[in-house]
Amino acid sequence: MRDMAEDRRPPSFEAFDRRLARARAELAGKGRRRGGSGRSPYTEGLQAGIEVIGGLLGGGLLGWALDRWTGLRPLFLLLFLVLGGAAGLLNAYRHLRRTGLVEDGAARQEAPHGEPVEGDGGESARTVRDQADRQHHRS
Amino acid sequence: MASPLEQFAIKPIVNITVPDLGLDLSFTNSSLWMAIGVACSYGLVMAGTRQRALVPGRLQALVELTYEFVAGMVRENAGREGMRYFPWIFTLFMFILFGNLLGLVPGAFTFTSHIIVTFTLALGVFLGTTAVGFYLHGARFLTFFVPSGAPKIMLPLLVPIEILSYCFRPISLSIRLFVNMMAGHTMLKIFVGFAIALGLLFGWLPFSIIVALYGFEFVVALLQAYIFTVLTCLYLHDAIHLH
Repeated sequence: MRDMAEDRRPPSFEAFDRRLARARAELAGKGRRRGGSGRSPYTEGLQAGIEVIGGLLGGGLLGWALDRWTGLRPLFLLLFLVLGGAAGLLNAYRHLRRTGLVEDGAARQEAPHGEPVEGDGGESARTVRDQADRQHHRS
Repeated sequence: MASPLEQFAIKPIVNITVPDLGLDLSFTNSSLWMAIGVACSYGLVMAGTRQRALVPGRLQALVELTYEFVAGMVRENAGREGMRYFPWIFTLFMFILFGNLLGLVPGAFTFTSHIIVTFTLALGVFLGTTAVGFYLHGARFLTFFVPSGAPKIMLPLLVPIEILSYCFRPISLSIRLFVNMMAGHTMLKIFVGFAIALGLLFGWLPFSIIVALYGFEFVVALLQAYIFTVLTCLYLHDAIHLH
């Protein structure tokens, strides 16, 4: 009878704190997953589309405002539409890569002696995790 | 039949104007529901943390769950150092969450369905994360706009694109929340219009769609608040860690 009662006693606070600290340390040890996981590809694709539209819209507005300000009517609008579109595409690409939906192209196409392929755009080393991924691919 | 867009009209409740500066600072239905949202989130957290019980009751469990959820989100996406900015992220999350959820109360006004509101929130995020970046790294934060490993000759083209893509973040952030909320509420109103127009005989068909849409809108309200906050955390991560 007494043994059972002792078994049922809740664990001491110290023991609980130890277990909590251990669990937290385990969680901290795990690699951080960056953004996005757990959401559907549809949602992520929609976000990528919004990034492109946002870039075009922002570029268009900025160019239009600069045109009005300087009076050089079509110049800045055209310039910033192109730049804004590029920026929007860059944001969309980064977003999709962060979510893991798009594989890092540089990892597969990379030349044997480790030089980045042309057209890589230089943004391949954006996140530490991407770099780590590439190391993993290469080995 | 009322237009499905009528629900988004801003109506002043208390007229406040500053004629000298040409400003209209009226307390509107939008401001009213923002105030209600702030009061609800403040009330929830305060009521939930009042007892400080070791074994939480329902309300305390809800608050603790929300806290753990946002804290986990910050830790995962912005890193451990991001926890310093947790109060800011938590406040942002609660404000948007209550804005979205209160909008689902029939007759309520959804302030997150206005792009100027979401854009102001996103602009706050943008200015805040940029300030954090400059505060932590000083002028070195500017290296964030120089892509590593790019040939030198491409830099005059790449750096402006990087800067623009950084500056357009608040645009896509705000468009997303506003579009989701506005589209959902417009759709609800359209189907309500169908249900009324078709009367008792066929009205049940659009009505059943409304029921499904309402559930869907509930998910959207939670999801959009979550996504806005996650993206904020990611921007914060960039500001703290540079790349």
